[in-house]
Amino acid sequence: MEMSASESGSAAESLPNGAVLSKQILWERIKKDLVVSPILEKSQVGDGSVDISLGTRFIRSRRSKTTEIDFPTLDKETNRSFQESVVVPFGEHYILHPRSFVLGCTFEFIALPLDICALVISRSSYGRAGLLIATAMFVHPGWRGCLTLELENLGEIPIKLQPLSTVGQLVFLSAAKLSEQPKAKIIPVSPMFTTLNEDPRWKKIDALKQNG
Amino acid sequence: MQGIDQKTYLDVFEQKLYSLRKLVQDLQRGLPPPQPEQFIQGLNLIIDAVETFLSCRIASLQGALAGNSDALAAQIAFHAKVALQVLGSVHEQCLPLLHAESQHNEYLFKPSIDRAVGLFTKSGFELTLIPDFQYNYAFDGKENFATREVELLERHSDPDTKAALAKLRNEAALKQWIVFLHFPVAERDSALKLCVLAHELGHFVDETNKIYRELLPLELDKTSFDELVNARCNTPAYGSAAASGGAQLTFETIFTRTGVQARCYLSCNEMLDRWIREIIADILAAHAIGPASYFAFNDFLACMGAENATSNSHPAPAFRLQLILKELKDTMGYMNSASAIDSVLSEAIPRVAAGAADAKYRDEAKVVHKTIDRNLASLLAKIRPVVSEYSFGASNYRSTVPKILERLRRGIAPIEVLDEVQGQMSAASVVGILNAGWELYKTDRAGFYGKFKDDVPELERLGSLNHLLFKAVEASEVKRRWK
Repeated sequence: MEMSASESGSAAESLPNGAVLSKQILWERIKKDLVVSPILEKSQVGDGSVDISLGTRFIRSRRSKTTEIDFPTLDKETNRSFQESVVVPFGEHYILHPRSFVLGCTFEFIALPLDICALVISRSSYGRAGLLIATAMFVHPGWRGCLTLELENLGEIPIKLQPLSTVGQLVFLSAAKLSEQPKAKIIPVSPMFTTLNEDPRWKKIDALKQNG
Repeated sequence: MQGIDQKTYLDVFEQKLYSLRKLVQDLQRGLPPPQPEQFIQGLNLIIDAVETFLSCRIASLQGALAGNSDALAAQIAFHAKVALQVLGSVHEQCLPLLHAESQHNEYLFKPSIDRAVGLFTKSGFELTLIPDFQYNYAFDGKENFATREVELLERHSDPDTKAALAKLRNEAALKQWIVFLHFPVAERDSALKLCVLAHELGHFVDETNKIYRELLPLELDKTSFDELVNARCNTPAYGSAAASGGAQLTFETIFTRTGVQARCYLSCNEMLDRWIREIIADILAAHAIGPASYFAFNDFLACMGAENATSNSHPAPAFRLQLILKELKDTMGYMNSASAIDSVLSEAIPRVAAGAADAKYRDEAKVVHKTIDRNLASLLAKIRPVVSEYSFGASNYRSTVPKILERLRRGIAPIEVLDEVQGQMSAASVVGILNAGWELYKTDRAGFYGKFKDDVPELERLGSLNHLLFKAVEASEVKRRWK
């Protein structure tokens, strides 16, 4: 059974919110309730962070008749008109050309306990080659799934992206414990495109316009 | 065909050869990796062999029939037609398989299937999953398919042609088996339903281990066979005698009783052969993946709206379900506890037994059913040893599935589980993952669906369950192989 931090008596419990979890605490929690799976090498788990690698599924944009991305009206059909799914098996690679963009996801499945949050960080070695892996860096306590990575080549030379290569890190921090597991809209195991059209704010903005 | 000259045959042969090569290349380009390389290599071997066959034969004929232009033209036309026929069969039978493969599932679960099959067979094989629009699962194993085609051409060749073809064949060094597993494209995204593939893999294991040879021939049940022969002897031939006003013609009048008996014997044995192979595949699947085989098969039958009736190729569905349940209970140790999975399986027993008792067996089916029923214990005893080492019995289930299920219930892809002895995370078993999925689906679906926001449609929640299972199978395989 999943143990809460208080039941587990984890050292993380005594940490102040926002403190980075040490290697020892990370292993402790991985054996109890923190999921970063699979861990292929012990060395993936470091002080305060766990290396994350690239998965096999990508979503890339293609030229299409879609004239613009209008977030309030963006639906699945529109998405399909300018996107395509690509699967790159292990041992193969995806070429990311200069100034092009592709959505990938982590190979690892991640499930955060209610008292731990995480930050997605690019590995500097890749960053120096021009690869940017994420813009949405914060992962909430209780979140589960494979993280979508926004991959962009900012350099001048094409980059070979290989599934299972460790492109980033998750830095784990202690957080104020949520009272219950948040309900999911979806548990992603593939890259997810934006669902900004579901943002309730669009309706309010629209209402403002109509009311003058 | 009369009236078409040899030059036309040679022209169309060239065109067909060109278009076929181009089609193979185009289809190959559209295929996602990993591609069925051995199959493509086999197709190219056949195409090259046909070209070699025709050119060598023409050269040989031109020497042998130098003074007889009419005979030479006729012979060239004949050989070109043979070559066109072989290319035609490649076009019609093999290229659709390449085309269908492009509708692949995006999860990489084939390595797990390859590993499982590798446990049971020493033969080299290449396995390809073929999504079909027809709602059916099927096994299509081609043993030495390309080399056999080339050998056929060799048999009809002069020594020089034969040598050229043999060289091509030897250089190809293809794997012994090219295996296609057909599944309904509609079930492409359902890890739960794709468990039916275990039955199809059972057919492959049967083919490579020749289990059916151990089980056949069987002596047909005498009473029902005599009844069948009597009924057939008296079957009116060419309609009713009353209509023609003459004496009634029966099969016995035409074929004699011995002839009718021989025909019945043949048809019963053909049916017996097919049914026995289905039973072998059912039992192998039951042992290989445990209760998941029953649940998947049960749902498959429901989905295809199967009647509880026999066919030439398959025993009655309820009989097969009963057989699987009995194997799970009597040999594999299930249904002897109050656990959720045992309860679900136990509940099915009376329902399935009633269905099996209700199944109608007529004519050959009655003979074959009685024959199998009478020999069932010895048949099963011969099948079990093939799979006993890897049988997913109740004790295996109890030691692996609960931990996996516990993760799945929480909406976590059960890729790894904590190995208490070693104190580290180890790869979850693929069979355990599939069974955990079925147990959750059959016993606590509402609990899993409750993890989602209220506005998420149920089918999307089920989709999420399947995605978690696929992800777990794919990633646990990587973890297993990483070492």
